[in-house]
Amino acid sequence: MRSLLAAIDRLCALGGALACACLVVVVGLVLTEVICRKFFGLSLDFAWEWATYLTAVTFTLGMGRALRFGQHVRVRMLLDLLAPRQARIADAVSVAIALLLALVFTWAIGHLAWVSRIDGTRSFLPSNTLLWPFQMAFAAGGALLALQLLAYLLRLITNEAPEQASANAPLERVD
Amino acid sequence: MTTTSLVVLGILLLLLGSGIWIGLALMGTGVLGLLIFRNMPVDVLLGQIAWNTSTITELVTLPLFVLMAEILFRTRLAASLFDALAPWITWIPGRLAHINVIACTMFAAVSGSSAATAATIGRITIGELLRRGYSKSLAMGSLAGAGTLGFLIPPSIVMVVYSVLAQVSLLDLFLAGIIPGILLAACFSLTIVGLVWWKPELVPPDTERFTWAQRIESLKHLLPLTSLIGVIIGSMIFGWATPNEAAAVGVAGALVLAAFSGGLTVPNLRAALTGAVATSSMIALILIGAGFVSTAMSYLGVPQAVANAVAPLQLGPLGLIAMLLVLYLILGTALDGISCIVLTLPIVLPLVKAAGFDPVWFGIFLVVTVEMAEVTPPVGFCMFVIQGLAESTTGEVAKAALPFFLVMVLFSGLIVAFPSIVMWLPGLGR
Repeated sequence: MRSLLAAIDRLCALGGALACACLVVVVGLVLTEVICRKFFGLSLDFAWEWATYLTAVTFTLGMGRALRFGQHVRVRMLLDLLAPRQARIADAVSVAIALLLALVFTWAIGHLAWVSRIDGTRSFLPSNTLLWPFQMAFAAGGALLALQLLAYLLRLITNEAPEQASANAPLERVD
Repeated sequence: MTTTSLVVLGILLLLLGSGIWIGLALMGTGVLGLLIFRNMPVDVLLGQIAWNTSTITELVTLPLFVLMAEILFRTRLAASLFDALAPWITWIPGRLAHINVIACTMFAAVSGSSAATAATIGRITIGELLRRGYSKSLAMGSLAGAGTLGFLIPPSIVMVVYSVLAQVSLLDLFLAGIIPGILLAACFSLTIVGLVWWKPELVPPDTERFTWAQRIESLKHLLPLTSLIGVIIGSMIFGWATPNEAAAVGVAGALVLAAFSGGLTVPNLRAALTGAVATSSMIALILIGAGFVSTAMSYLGVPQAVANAVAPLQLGPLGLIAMLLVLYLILGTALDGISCIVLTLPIVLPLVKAAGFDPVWFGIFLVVTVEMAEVTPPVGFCMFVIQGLAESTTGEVAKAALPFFLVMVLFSGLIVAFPSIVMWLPGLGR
């Protein structure tokens, strides 16, 4: 059990690191487009398109780590009204449903990526980019979220703290 | 209302109330609603909408604006602002208490988030104000009020989210937020003047004196922030960057600023990136859920059913807006601003449009109302940030923020009475 939880955490940390790398590439792509257009009079037709795809990948790849550090938003008002033991049971039921929904989400975006792979779907924009590599990474992020929800559930069952305090507080949740 | 609509809204309340993460609860509502009432391939629809929602061009700005705030949080920007502004405001009743308002207003021009604005400015000003004998409630309250300007003064993460969901121009929204943002800041300053006039003991005796030479000397500290604002706005005005690209220009500017202030270290950069990714992922999950439930509700005819249910009430446009203000004030006590918007927009926006309101105007009205959500207990992220900075309780921060909260309520009435406050600037752009 412990090694499973550690493996999930490591995978989500890796997902978070890849998401950070994608974000750096997004910044680079957009800035390169601005500089190329301003100073060389040419526009990179793929820059903005890839930036949008990589932003989508950033979003999902970071979801598992965000859950581990308690960043995702939920309404805990009713759970907080219950006694600790009841709250833990109710929380476990909620997390189990959330896990089911995350699996549906992962299946849906994984299916989209798979169909794109089979059909060789390309974007209709000038760069004519092959979509499935981005969509596969997007789906992998969904799977990380589902895995971290599984870890959350297991930690609840084994009476462990399901969320870890963030080193970046108070700014991490800057909505 | 139809049975379908009641069941769908019931599922939504059940999933949200049971504590399922908001984005997944929204997705679950859409999935269950379509499975029960429509025979269609839900997985295909969900996959396509998740991808389409996440790849909307405007959304690229979301992690970039968050990253910019994360980088600036780790610079000496707030300290520079304090040094620059302090000598200039000693003549206003309330003196340094206004520094929260002015500094947050200026920082909001490079930050898209209320909590980031409150955290960045507050970590310098709270300590300085308390050390100089200013009342804790005035320091916390003014920061709570002014911190919310991060949402209203562009760039704004909430406006990016609204622009995506309501399909309105992000540039129009940004332009529309400028005048209300400055006016609301002025209202906050007037509130401080009023509070100090009512209770003079809120501020210490006036002992600080600055010469004109010191005042002029202090202006050099404004240079980093004004340069950054200048680069972001200038890049758009001179046509070097589109409004979406300006976010990346802002990140580059923030990095340069961090390099000059010595804040550009590998640990800081890593922390800024992980923070930006976590926040963006959190918002994206909600947005994907909202995009899907919005489509599902359209298939199921929920917005139309709610519109038909509201029509016999004969509320009229102003009655509708008043009802929505009350609704958002109630929702704001339990939810954060972005969740309030995504949960209600699929139903509320068609009603508002049908009542004749401009979606850009409504976007700003919505931003002002969800700003209040940031400072109302039990859930208000701006409040949580200040609670941590001032080592105070939620109740104390909420009490301190109450006068500023009431000003925001009155201000939302002001933009209803005078919509041109919002629409004048985008009108010029059009």
